Amino acid sequence: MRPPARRRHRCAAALLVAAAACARAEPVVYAIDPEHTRVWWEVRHFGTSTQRGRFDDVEGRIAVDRDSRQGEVSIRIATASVSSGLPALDRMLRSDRFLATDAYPSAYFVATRLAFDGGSLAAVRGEFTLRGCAPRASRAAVKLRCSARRAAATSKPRCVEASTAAPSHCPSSPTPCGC
Amino acid sequence: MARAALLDAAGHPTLRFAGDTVDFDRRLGAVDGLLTLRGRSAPLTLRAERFGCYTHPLLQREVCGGDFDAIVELGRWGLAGAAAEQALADRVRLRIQVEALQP
Repeated sequence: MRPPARRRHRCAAALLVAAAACARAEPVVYAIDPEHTRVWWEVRHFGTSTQRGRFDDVEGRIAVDRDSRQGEVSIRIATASVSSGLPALDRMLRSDRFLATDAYPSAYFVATRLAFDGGSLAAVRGEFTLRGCAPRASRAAVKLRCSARRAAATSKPRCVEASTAAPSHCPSSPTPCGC
Repeated sequence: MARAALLDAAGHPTLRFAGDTVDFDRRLGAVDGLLTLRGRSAPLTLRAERFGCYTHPLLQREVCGGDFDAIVELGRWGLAGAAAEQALADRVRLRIQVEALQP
């Protein structure tokens, strides 16, 4: 026996909703592979050679929904793992003059804005927190990630405040602000 | 990369590059030479990305240096198979940072 027309209509609508839900794919989550992941830095020396080094200890996760072209990137870098190939330079980089690795053992990159070019990932815009501070340009992402406070009108960068309720995608609560 | 299958660091502890043709048309462009890897020599061109000189402020000596770039095709040194075993591509990019002081 055929169901009433109205009921058939409702069933069709339910099917459509279900289909729409299926089309919205779940993001795929990847864990950083520490054996194949490094962060390199480069800096020009006296306008001639480019001095290079890397952070060897990197961990984090990447979630990508290729259909909706959205995702999240959350990376933690162990600052003491800096390696330039020159032990004296590494000691200077770990000291309070630069990375202050004792006070700030981690640097963070957190991003929720992924830009795609065609089907491939083209850019990841986010917030880089170094020595507990994130530069002015990444203010929007700072707000998104934890909490941000407007620094006094100085040339100093804005700082990330420790948040009592850090979102789950934060690798951990940032260290207290020291800049 | 230090495994015997690739660099054989124990058997061949050094790489050697000797350049004798310098393309210097107003500014340094490239250096052609021979790269010796695991005892086998093959031509290699180092492309100068930048090159310049300055007086070191503390040492008060002239320093010259820059960045050089080259592509090593491992097959030319007999290492294509060894690279493939490690899931590595045949083409290796060298990025060289170098500065040298006058005595």
